[in-house]
Amino acid sequence: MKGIVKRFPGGVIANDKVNFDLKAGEIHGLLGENGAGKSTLMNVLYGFYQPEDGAIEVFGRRVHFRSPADAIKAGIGMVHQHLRLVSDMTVTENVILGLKSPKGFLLDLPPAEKRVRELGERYGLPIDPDVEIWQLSIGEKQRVEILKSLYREARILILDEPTSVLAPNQIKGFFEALQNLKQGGIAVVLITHKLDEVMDITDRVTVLRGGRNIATQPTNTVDQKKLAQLMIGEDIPPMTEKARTLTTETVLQVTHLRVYDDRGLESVKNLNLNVRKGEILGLAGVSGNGQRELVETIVGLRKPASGSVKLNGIEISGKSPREIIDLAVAYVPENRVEDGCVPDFGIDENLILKDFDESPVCNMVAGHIPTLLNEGEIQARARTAIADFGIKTTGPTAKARSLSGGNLQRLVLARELGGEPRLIVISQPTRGLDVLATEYVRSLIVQQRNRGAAVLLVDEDLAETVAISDRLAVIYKGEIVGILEPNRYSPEDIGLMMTGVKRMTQEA
Amino acid sequence: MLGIKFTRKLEVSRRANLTVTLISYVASPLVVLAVLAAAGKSPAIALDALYRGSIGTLSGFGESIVQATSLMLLAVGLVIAFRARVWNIGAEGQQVFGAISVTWFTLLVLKEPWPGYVVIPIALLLSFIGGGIFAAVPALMRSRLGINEVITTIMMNYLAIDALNWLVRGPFQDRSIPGSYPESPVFPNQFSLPIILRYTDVTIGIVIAVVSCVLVYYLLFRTPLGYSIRAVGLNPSAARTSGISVNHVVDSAMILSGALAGLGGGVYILGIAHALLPEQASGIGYTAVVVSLLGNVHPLGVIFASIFFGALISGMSSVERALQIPETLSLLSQGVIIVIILIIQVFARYEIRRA
Repeated sequence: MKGIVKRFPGGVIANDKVNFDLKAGEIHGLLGENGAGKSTLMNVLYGFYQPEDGAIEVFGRRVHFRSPADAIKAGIGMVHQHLRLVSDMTVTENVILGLKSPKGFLLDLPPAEKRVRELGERYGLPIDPDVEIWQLSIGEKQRVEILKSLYREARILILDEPTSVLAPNQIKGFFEALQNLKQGGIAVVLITHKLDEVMDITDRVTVLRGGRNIATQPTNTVDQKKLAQLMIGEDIPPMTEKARTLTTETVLQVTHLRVYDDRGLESVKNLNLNVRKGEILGLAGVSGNGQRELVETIVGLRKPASGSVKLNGIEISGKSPREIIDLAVAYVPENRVEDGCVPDFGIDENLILKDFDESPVCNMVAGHIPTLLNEGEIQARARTAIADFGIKTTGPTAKARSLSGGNLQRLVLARELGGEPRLIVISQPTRGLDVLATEYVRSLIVQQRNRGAAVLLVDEDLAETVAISDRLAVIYKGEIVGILEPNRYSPEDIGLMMTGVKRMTQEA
Repeated sequence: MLGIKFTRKLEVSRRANLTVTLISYVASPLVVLAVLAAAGKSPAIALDALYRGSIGTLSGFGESIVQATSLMLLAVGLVIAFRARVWNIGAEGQQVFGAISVTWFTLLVLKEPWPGYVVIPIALLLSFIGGGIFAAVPALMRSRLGINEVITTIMMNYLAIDALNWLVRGPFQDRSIPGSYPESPVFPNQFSLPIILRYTDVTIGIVIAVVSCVLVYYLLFRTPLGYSIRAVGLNPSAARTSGISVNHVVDSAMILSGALAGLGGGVYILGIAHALLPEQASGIGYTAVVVSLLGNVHPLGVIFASIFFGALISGMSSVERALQIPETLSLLSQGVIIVIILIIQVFARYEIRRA
């Protein structure tokens, strides 16, 4: 792949003249932070995206893939992070899904079954072809996806963060299978952001940062420290002491917290964290290290397995989201459209989502029995929010669906910051926003901090986290592996901690 | 392919919705005529009979309103459930249970000299409560156990129908005449809903139904409960994140929906049947699903959709008599109308342009 350029609507350049080469029978690590352009580059190779510029040669032949079907024909297979299998069908049925049957209209399963079994044995990916997908573990499902590519005679196999769904003991077996594939002459691209994996299994490694190829080197010429540096870069602004009123009053106190994720894996392990009044605590980390589960537990959407979450000394773990909201906790979820708003509600209706049955939004009889919504109050609030937060819209009743990303985030912030919250939990506040909106959102967060709110900022954008946080906590595999103060900070440390190489034992 | 391009609109304007609804209303009678013409019947006679049977004569008009009354109550109940994205298919069973509740109470006080203005309100209240209780079962099964409400509400329909058939042959059967029909004793006259339009069977029931629609409108769009019902229906995830108890909303929506269906059953038995009959389970609960969709799942839209459908049912029975056609043929045209209306409504959501 030479000089690949891929732009997305909105001016984001995901790949900026990227060169990438792959040799037969090698395992090639593709390393980078979230948003570095790894998946985009591989989706270009897989025909899922068409590049604006650049050339792709596969086995010495210039190719133009219009769709993944073309790429598959050229011998390329890709296993996505989210597996795409039909759970009520057997392994064999899934493998041959979409292929023409040699018997025309009739399915010819026995020979296919035999080949699936053979392929599995040959590459150390044993699987029973007769079993239905829903009975399989996630690791086995991944095997099916790989077999699906092999069945189509893929010579190049792209694996998008394959180990993120595996438990540690499964990873070993998985790596053995990768070695077998390599022996079989298949070229494997391993997309990852885990340094130890790159060191363990790959022959060569390419590091992407900000959509550019920073380095391609044989793995035995680099070490984890070097890779972390390449991945994070040197261009992170220095973390500065911000003008703030120092307080020691702890607002949020998380102790020995353990939480399971949706798959029943322990994703937050014995986590300790304090957020003080009037500070922004930035939580840095590669996504999928327990951030989401931590945040959902704090706001009451998820029940912890054990441990405690205290707000100003009051235990809140196990309380309902409503009870926690009533304790002046604001939450700006990472997914604005799915969790942050009702797209088919107007701006006015979205603004009352949290207090629609409380005075003054709702009229009361005898002090506490809600009767009718107070239309005048709702409209007034919408007009105020539109003016104060600069929401660009046609009017208070315009649907949230019609707003741009930046304006939608302004709407969510208008609702969440309205009641002078004590604690603000905010996830990916500027993801997908343009420069102007980003600046605005950051200034709002700082403004809230200055007012005296405790802010927990969960952010994959490391530069942003460093720029506005007062302290930085690094999370890795569900644990806080280090707390960094402005005066004791180096970008290299963060990189090593985020990737699990280094840890500080200091308690939060 | 045809040189026409469909693009999904971001927002469907109120005007587009209204236009499309009006088109479907006007197109429906034409469809009926086309079906009959295809079956070799005279469209002219059919049109005349359809007109007289629906709105052209006082008796036709009265029958249209009678047919619309219970339908309206059932459909507006379903609007509440559908707005919460709770698929209540059990209006049939809920209205039967409402009617059973009324019968139970009426038989208790049959010999008492109580006046209608005491008995009727109590009976209607009981039908409302009965329907609500009957709907509470699938509601709790969905919200506490996660069992799909489509399946449970349909199964509950069979339960209600079987209970009905047993009651009219068992405990509730009129045994005053030997070898009598499977029916409860006929209710005394003073227990009938007052008629409000002379020379017709139109009772105060239609007023109850229209008022209910207006109240549901206020409930959905002006009260906190209605707000939370709509929020949960449109985005349960955001509702939960904002502290709304989705379980509570699902329960409330389903129970209210069943209560209104129960009231519909009560209005039917006190207004039209005057006794518990096996025909109480007429399939009206399924027609109500169509009516609530036809009314744009809007409580005020349901008023018009119910009257339209009532007129259609009444008009078609007059066509049956005039042309001597079997009931199945008229049911067939009703089915075709439903399909066509649903197709037309889809068009409202798209912008249609030349490519």
